[in-house]
Amino acid sequence: MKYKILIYILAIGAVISSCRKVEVENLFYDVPEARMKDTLEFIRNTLVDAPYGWNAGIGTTGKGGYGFYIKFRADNTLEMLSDYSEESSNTAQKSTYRVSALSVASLVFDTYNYITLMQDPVPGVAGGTAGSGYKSDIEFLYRGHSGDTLFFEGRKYKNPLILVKNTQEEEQALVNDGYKQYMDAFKNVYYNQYDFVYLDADEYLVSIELDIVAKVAVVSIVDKTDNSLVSIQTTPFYFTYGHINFIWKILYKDKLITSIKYNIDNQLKLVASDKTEVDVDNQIDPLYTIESAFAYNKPFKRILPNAVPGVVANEHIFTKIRELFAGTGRVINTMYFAFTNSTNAVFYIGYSSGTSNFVASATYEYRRNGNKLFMKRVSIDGGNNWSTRATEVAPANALFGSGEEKEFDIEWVLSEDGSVKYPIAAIRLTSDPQNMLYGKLGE
Amino acid sequence: MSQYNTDTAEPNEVDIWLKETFQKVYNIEVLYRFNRNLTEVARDVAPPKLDRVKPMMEAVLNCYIKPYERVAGVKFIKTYCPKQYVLFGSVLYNSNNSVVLGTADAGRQVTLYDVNNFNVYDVNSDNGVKRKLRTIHHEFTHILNQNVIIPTEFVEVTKADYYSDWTNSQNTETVAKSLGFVSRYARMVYTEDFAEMAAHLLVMGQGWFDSYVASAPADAQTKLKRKEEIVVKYFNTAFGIDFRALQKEIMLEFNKYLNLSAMIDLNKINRITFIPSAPHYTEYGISDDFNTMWTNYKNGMSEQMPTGNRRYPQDMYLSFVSNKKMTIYVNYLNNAQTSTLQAAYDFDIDVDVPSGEITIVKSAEEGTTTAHNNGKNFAFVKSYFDDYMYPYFHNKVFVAAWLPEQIQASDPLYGMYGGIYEKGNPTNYFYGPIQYK
Repeated sequence: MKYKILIYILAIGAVISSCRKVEVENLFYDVPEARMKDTLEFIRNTLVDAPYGWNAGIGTTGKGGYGFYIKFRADNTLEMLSDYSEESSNTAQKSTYRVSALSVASLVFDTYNYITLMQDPVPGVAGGTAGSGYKSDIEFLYRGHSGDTLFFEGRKYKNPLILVKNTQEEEQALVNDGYKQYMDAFKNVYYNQYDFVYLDADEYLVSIELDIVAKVAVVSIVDKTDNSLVSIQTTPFYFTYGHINFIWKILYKDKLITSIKYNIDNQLKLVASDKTEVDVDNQIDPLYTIESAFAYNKPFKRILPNAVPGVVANEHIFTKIRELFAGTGRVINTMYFAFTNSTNAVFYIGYSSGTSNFVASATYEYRRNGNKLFMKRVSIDGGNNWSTRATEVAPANALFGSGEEKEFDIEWVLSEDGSVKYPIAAIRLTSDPQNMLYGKLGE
Repeated sequence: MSQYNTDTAEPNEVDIWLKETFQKVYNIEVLYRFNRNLTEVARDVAPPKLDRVKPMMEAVLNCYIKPYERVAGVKFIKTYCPKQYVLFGSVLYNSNNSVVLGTADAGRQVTLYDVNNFNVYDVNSDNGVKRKLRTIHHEFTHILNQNVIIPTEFVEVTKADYYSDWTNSQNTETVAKSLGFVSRYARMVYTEDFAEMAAHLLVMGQGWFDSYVASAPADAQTKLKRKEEIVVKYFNTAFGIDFRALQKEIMLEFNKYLNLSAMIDLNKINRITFIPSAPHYTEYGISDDFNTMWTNYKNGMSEQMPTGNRRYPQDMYLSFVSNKKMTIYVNYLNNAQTSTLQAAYDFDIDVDVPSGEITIVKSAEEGTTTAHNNGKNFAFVKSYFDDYMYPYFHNKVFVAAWLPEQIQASDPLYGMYGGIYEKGNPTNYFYGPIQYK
């Protein structure tokens, strides 16, 4: 009985204490729901409150950057143009959008438009991989604002979406085919007047290569004392009317470089976040030495098989081998030349015949002295396929031999084609320099 | 709390139409605005295009909800129809790169993928009305099965041949058919088999199904017909639905989409098939001239001497390769009657769409595919083609038409069959089920 009373007393005590409102200091100005509502309303109102629309840019994980002109309306519809293609630059697309609370306040492009092209998982639509496309988002989490700019981040792939209010002039240009006009004009200046573009930062150089098709910029830091490659980074970029905007900023001295443009004299200018402009320098040859970039223990170990236009040589060996395989109904899926370690190199071909996959590869032993290379074939791997496909791999054998040691020179070669803006590595046979393996470098 | 609703959007024209048509009448919610949580949350799926939402849902209304409402009653469709439709623009990829076109969850929600490719003007293609509606009817059959289970005798018909790895390359359409399945997917498991059977019967139509059965091996024919019988009976005993009436209602709706003109446009036709044992020739008859030609051809080849030369023609079809080229394919059994081979013969054609006239002339040069090479085998095969088929088609003018004449425009089967008759001699004709481009 005593215990029962005790329990009653405790229970009543608990009830009383749980009924009492605990006075805690409200750290924020209101309850979470109200604060979320405020943020959503702020974004909704800001998006609509841009009389000349927005200039938007996204980065993708699977390809480069993309630019958009977007006009948001209060009825949850929008109109859009994009630098994605010629058609998208002059054909406005309508869709819906909404600003809603996912995990945080978010902007969702909830029916199809140009931004969803990159997110579409079907490769036949824009490109990319089956199941993920260019690995991009259509749900963007709000991350903050600054002046006339809103910052969002992709929900799944974490790429930025940057929205900047247009001026009347910018809007006029963009809706009158501005994307295409500016892209064409920029290409014309960059392709015809520049080779390797860089900034001189006293102790080091910042090299910037733009791949206008993929819309990715390669930014390399080069040590000025010996012209060696120190580091490489990439950033997607997108077009606006008047600029190419980098998704990730480039550090140069005490400035943050945000975009690149050309001026009235057709000179390229970099633009920093404080709106100051920086002149760029240009030279014909790559900025860093090939031995600092291309070796088994350097950033680039491989020569990639993609065709490079405008190089003078007997033939592009990778393309020739691809053609020979295709002639027998076989499709090459992977192909490269690589320095695998300090003594071995490999010529690798992964191909398929029907639904079966095969590998034909040859391993070479090499000695390297600066840019002199002495190399001989020591084995063939992946079964006997290098021998059974002897006719198809003949161009590789004609250069690298089938066992005898040969002497080569490793050097940069230049392309006469203005659209090629990356360094081209070549392994030339010393006794016959036009017989060479050349291509873009890969990691 | 409504002041804190964090996921709202202004209703647009489509929203209003969906609300008036589906929510108010059938208590069906249609969600088309992208929401990751309504699909596999970790995968990438594109949202639908706004302008595809209404045509897609109109097709659902006309070719699924309304026919059921007319045949089974308002109460039935309101009770059993899924209460939520979710639309996505792209397909949903599985880890093995196969794709999902639709799902039905717990009899409540149906998710339709690939809506962006939906095309109402292209009734029969992969993106057309029929393919999408097959998914809808397939999913709805699942819902019915969740309310009244599939009869056990259905499970028994092809019990040994279910194959969960149905996308395996060994499970070809031919293999699935020869085992008594209506599609490759039907082999997955009996529940899918039942849904595939019902969906094909309702959407592809009885004519299509009969031809499918007629072109299958004898054992498979028995199994397919048995399954058909069980499906028809199930709809009646479980829900009191006249399956045949439902089929007709749905066919008539599809014909509205086909917008069939009085004339056949041969340029839109892929092939016209002749399978001698198909039931429509018993019901609607066959042209004497054509039948004589086929019988002579068939008997000639299969009764020739020496017996080792004999080949056994089974059926044939006209393939309209382009507006200038037609190929006749004959399927025949080899001498041992163990495998089916094809013989092919090219013809040059000239099509005049307004009049439907088609001038047919044997091509001077024959093709080089395996089937064409089979057809060139003079002793066994080609001489019979030369004797019978060549004079029947060569250097003649035919007229394309919706045949047989008994099937009028008001008939649900209208548009399913077609053929050609000899100009000036309409009693000489060739017809069969049409496969559209």
